[in-house]
Amino acid sequence: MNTIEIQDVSRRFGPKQALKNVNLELPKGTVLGLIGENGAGKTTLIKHILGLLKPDQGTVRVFGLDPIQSPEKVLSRIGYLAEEDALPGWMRIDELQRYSAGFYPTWNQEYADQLCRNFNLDRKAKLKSLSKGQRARAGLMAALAIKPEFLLLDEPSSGLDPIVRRDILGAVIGSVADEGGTVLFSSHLLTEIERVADRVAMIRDGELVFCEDLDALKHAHLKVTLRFDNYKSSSPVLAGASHWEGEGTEWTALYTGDGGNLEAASALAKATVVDRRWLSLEEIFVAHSATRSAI
Amino acid sequence: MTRSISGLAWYLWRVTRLEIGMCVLGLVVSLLFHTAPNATFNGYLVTLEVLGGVTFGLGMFALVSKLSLAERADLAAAGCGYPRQLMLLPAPTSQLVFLPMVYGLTVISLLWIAFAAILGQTPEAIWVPALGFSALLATIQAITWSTTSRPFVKIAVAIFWVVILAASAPTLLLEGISPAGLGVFFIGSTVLAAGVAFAGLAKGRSGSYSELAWPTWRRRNLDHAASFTSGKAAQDWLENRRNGSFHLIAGAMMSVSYAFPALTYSQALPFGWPLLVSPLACYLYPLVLSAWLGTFVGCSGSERDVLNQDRSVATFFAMRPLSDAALVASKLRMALRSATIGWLIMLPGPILFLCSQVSIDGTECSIAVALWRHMTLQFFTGLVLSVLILFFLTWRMNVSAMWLRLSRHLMLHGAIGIIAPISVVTFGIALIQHYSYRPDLVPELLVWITPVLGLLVMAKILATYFVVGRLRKFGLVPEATIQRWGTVCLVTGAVLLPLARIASPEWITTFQAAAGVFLILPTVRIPMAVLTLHANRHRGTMPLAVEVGVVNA
Repeated sequence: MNTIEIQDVSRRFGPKQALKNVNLELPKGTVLGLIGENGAGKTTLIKHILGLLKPDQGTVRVFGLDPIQSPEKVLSRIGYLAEEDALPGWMRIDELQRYSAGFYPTWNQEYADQLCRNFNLDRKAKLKSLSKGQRARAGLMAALAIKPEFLLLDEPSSGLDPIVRRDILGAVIGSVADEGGTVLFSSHLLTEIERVADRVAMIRDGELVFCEDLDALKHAHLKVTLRFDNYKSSSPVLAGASHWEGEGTEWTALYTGDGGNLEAASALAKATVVDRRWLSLEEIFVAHSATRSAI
Repeated sequence: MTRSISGLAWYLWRVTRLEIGMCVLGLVVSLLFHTAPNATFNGYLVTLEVLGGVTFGLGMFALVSKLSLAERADLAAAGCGYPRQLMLLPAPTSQLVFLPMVYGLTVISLLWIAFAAILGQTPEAIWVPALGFSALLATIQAITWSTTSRPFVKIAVAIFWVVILAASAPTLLLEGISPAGLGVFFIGSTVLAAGVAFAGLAKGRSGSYSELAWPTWRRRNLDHAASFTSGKAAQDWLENRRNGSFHLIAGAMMSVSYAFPALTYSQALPFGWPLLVSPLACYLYPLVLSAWLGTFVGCSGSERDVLNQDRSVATFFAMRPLSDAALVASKLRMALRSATIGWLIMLPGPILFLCSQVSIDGTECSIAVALWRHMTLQFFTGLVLSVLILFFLTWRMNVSAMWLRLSRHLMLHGAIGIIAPISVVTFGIALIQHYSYRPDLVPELLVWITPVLGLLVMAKILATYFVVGRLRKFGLVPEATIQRWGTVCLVTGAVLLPLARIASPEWITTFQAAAGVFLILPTVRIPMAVLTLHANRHRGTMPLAVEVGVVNA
C-alpha cells in the first residue's frame, strides 16, 4: 500500500511553472529524501501532499484519500514539521501539547513528555521565547507525539546547529524503526539524507528528475578518469559520459550507468580507464543541478 | 553631521511622500469645491468637499502611521521600537530622535493649518489643533521608542496617555481654559514626549535595559493547561485565548466612553446616536476602537509565499485536522462570544446614559423617558442602523479586514500604526466639533456618520481592486473572478438598497447608497466564510481571496 500517490501533477503560479507532470509513489514504511535547489518546487510538492495547494492538473492521494476533500482524515495521520517557524509564539509548550492532543486521538502524552525531557524543553516556556533550535525541537515534539503514520519534514534542519539536526535525524530513524511509519524528508543537507533515506527524489525546475533507491542511485553514477591515446583539444565523446574536465590526453567525466559497459566503450574511444569511483549523493546532486541538459 | 541629517531627512521624505501626496490631493479637492460657487454643482458641492476631506483624513491616517516609525515595532514588547536600520546609523541619538520628530510635527501641523485655513476656521481652531496634533504625534513616537521593564506596559501607557492627552483639550476648554493655555499645555506635552523619546532611544541604543521575568508565583499558576476532549474544543480554546482578554478590555473601555459623557454632560442633549451627543464621546469611541484593533492587527495570519507571489492561510491554522466548516464555525463562535461579552460589559454605559437627566422644552426627565416620548421613525431607523454598525465594528474580523486592506502601509505598521492615525484624526474631529458645536446639527451628523463609514468601506473595496490589479500582472486573477466579485457587489447592493430605502425614507438622498454598500460586507461574508477559507486553505490557481485576513485573523 502506498502512503502517497501523486499522478501527473502540475501547478502554475502565474507565468511560473512550479510543478510539471510530477509522478511519485511512496510505499508505506519508506523514508524518502527529497532534494532540489532553492525554488525547485520541493515545498510546493509538499503543500500539495498536505492539501494546502490544489493542483492545476493531476491527482494527489494520501492514504488513498484526497487531502483537499478530506483534510481532517488526512491531516490527523500526518506529523508535519515546516521549514519556517509555523507555531504560534504566544503558546506555551504545555499548551501546545494539550491543544494538539485535542485533535489527534493517537497523541501519546508520555512520549511527548519524554521528548520534552530529551530535547531539554521547558514546558512552561512560551514558544516565542525559545531559540530557533528549541522551537524546531518543540515542533518536532508536536509532530512526533501524535505517532504519525506519515512524518513530513520540510527542510527542518536548515539553519540549525548539529545537535538539533541530530535530534531530527534520530526522530526520523525512530519513527521508521519503531512505528513502521513513512517519512518524507526534504533537506539541502545531503549527508543527512544519505544517512536515513531509503529512496531519494530530486526536483529541478518543477520536474521530477529521478526517484530511486539510494543505493541504486549511487551505483548508477560513476566518476571516471580516462587516458586517451590521442591528444584531445576539446571534450571527448563517450556514450554515457558527460561533464568532461581535463585537457590533452587525460580527462575526467561523470558516467551514468553501473559501469558494465565502460571498458568496452572506452576501448572503442581509444581510451583506458585510469580510475573510477561511485559518486556521493552530493556529487550526483551537483551534477544534475549544474547542467540542465546533461545526464 | 550634515550628511547624516540630509540622509535621514531624505529617508523620512521617501517613506512619507505618498501619504503627503494624498493629503495634498485632499487639500486641493477641498479647496476647489469649497471656493466654487454653489450653483455650479447643484448641491453636490458639499459631498465633493467632504470627499476631499475624507481623502485628506485617510492621508493623515497613513502619514501619522508612517511618522511613528513603528513599521516593525511590537508595542507589547519592552524594548525600544525605533527602527533598527535607523538605530544603527552613525548619527548621534539626539539627531535620530529630534529630526523625525521635528519633521513629523512640521508636516502634520502645516497640513492641518492649510486644511483648516481652507475651511475658514478661526485662528484658534487653526493653531491649537496643530499644536495638539504635534503633541499627539510626539506622544505616540515617545511611547513607541521608549523602553520599559515589562512587556505590555507600553500598550497600557499608549491607551491611557493618548486618551488623557486627547480628552484634555475639550475638557479644559469646557472648564474655561483659554486656547492660549491649551497651546502651552500641548507644547509642554510635546517637550515631555521628546525627552521620553530621547531617553528611550538612548537606552535602546546602548542596550541598558532589561526585561523582567515573570515572578515564580506566576509560573506556578501556569501549571494547569487546559485539556480538550475534541479538536473543536481545542480550536475554540485557541480562538478564545488569542482574543478573549482583549475583548474584555475593549468592552470595558467602550463602557467608559458611553458612561463618562453621560455622567458629566449636564446640558440638554439632542436626540441621535449617543456617541454623537458629546465631543468627548465622539473621539473616545473611535480611540478605544482603534486601541482595540491595534492589539491584534499584525497577528492575523496570512502567509506570503514570496517566491511564487502567492499567499495562503497560516500553515499552523491550515494544518488543523478539521474541516473548513469546523474551522469557520469555531471563528464564528468566538466572534459571537466575544461580541456578547463586550456588549455585556458595555451595558452599564448606555444604562447610565439613559438614566441621565435632560431638559426638553423646560421639562426635566431621564433620557430614556425623553427618547420614548420623542421616538420617531427616523430615530428608530437610526437606532437599528447604529446597532448594525456597532455589531459590525464589534465583530473584529470584519473590522480588521477593513482596516487591513484600507491601507497596505497601515497593515505593516502594527499596533501603534493603527492607534496613531485614528487618534489624531478623531482628536481633530473632536476639536472641530467643539469649536463649531451646534446641537441642532447633531441629527445631520447622525446622517453623515454612515456615509463616512460607507466611504471607508468603498475605499477598502477600491484598495482591494488595486491589490487585485497588481496580482493580475502575475496572471493570478482570471477575468471571471473580477466579474464574480462585481456581480456579488451589485446583487447584494440591489437587495440591500431597497431595504435601506424603505427603512429610512427621510435620508434617501444623503446616505442610502453608502449604507447599502456598508452593509454588503458583513452580510456577504458570513455565508461566504467557508468558501473563502476553502479557497485559501487549499489554494488553487485563482486570485488571492481578500478575505484571507478575515477568516484567518
